[in-house]
Amino acid sequence: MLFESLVVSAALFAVGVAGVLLRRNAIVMFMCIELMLNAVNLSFVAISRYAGIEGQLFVIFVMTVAAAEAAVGLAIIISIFRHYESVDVRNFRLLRW
Amino acid sequence: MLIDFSNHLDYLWALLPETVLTAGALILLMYDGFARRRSSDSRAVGWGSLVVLSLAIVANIWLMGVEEASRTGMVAIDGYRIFTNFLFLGAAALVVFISFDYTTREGMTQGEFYALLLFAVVGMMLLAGSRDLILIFLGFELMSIAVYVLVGFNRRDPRSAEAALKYFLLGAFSSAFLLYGMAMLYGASGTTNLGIMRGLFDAGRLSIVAIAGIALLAIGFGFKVSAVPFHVWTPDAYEGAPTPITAFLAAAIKASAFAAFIRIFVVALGDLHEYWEGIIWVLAMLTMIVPNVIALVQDNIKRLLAYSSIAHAGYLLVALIAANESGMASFLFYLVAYTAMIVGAFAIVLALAGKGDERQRLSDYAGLGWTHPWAAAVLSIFLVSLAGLPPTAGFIGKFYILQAAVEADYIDLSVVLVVTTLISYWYYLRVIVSMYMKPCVAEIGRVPWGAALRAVLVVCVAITVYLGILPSWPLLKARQSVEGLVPVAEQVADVRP
Repeated sequence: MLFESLVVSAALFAVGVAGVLLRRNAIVMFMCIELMLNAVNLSFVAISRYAGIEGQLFVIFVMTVAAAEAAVGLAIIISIFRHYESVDVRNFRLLRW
Repeated sequence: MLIDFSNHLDYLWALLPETVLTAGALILLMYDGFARRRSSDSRAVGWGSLVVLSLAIVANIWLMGVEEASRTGMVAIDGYRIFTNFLFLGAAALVVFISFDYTTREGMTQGEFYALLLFAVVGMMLLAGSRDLILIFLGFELMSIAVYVLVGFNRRDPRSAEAALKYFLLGAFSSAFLLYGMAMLYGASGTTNLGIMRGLFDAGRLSIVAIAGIALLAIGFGFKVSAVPFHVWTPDAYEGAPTPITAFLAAAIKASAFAAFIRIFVVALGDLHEYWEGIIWVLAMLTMIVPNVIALVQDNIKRLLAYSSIAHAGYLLVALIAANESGMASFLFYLVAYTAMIVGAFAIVLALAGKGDERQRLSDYAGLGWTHPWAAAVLSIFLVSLAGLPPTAGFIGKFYILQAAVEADYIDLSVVLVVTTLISYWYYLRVIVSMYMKPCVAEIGRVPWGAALRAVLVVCVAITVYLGILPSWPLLKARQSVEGLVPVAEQVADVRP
């Protein structure tokens, strides 16, 4: 079961990475990041069946952190929406190299 | 006092500086909740945060006399942690001092500013002082989440919001990579404890899972320390953030990410040097060359300093890849020097920018040497030090990194370090030339130099010059604090069957 779980987790992680790199809507990008975190959680749970309890502890912490990150992230997205009336990252070009 | 983690109360003692900071930050938040929105209240919270920081420094001094029972505890109590703790607390205090005038000027009088700063410092200290992947991840997020808010703190400015969004998206993205790398290391070794992990890897036959873990960790840390090609967020975040926070990002945040980088790669994965040196070598090479070239064409001073800070991350990567004791000592020495000079430089930029952060272009600095001679002279000292010319801290720091790289036989990296330093003279000296040799375009007028800002400038100049002229005592301290970091990990490996 370990191998299959790790493959599923890697596939989910890859979907998340592709989403962040390809989509341009800030909220969708953020959702893809959450998907990546949850893919890692799946790996942790699968591994902890063999390696001990730390993996499951780690998952609890990751979920807590992801919740805190969501609170801050959505607040940031709202504050930028107030300035630009948009959440499309292509529109944000005050700062550029 | 002996700390033995079988007694759970000992965690409280081992984490005393962090506990003090957290409690202080919570009290300040409470106070701010009842205070009225006036700049004097914000200033009171700022002074309160300085009191909390000094209490944490006292706690850290107390920690110097504490021994730990084993080298595998979740929280490390070694010279490395104590040294970096002092660095983070000092950098945070400097940032608080330069924030007083800025927050009043820009109307950011919410007291949360200082509380968030303290929470970020707690995260950094956990990050640099823990020997467990779980705690390192928590420290990273505690620091990052506070800093995402701080970067977007100026809500009236669209640049600040944009910087916060870019920093947030890429920061969370990189955290996911970091986490995946940690999961792979955990899967390969079966433990999250870095002290134990070192003994469990066999450099001869390493599983593919562990190699994937190392690669993912290198990507995640590459984002966090803004190594090229993972640096794209850095100039944007640095330019858009409120200037004191930019100084904080450049000095303390980067330092703490590097501290954890070293703890994982050099201490826990030190025996696997041959597996990770390739990827770090490429990162170091690119991070020295690319930003130094891009910086040549910048005309915004904050962006120029942002690229300069990316380039300095490249020099620090050279100290990391050397992976010997002098490499780590030169790394700590360089961090102190770099913190002093970059905070000082941003303090000048902050004061000269004026209300609304209007004056940030290089052309605004033309003729500064004649209209504001003191500001120009002090800024020149910092720029000369960043460029790495003697007799300043930057020169000595670079010299020791070079020495460590040569000791570890990285001649190619040393040559690139010297050549890119020579290239970097061009853009640092361009600012100085424009200050002294070009006619003034737009009169800057009177610049209010608050007492706190002056004090910071004096301290930063003093450190920059002192480290440049008498580097032996600080270097000795840096060397003592990394003493035993690597060999002790080897002893642990021997103990385990």
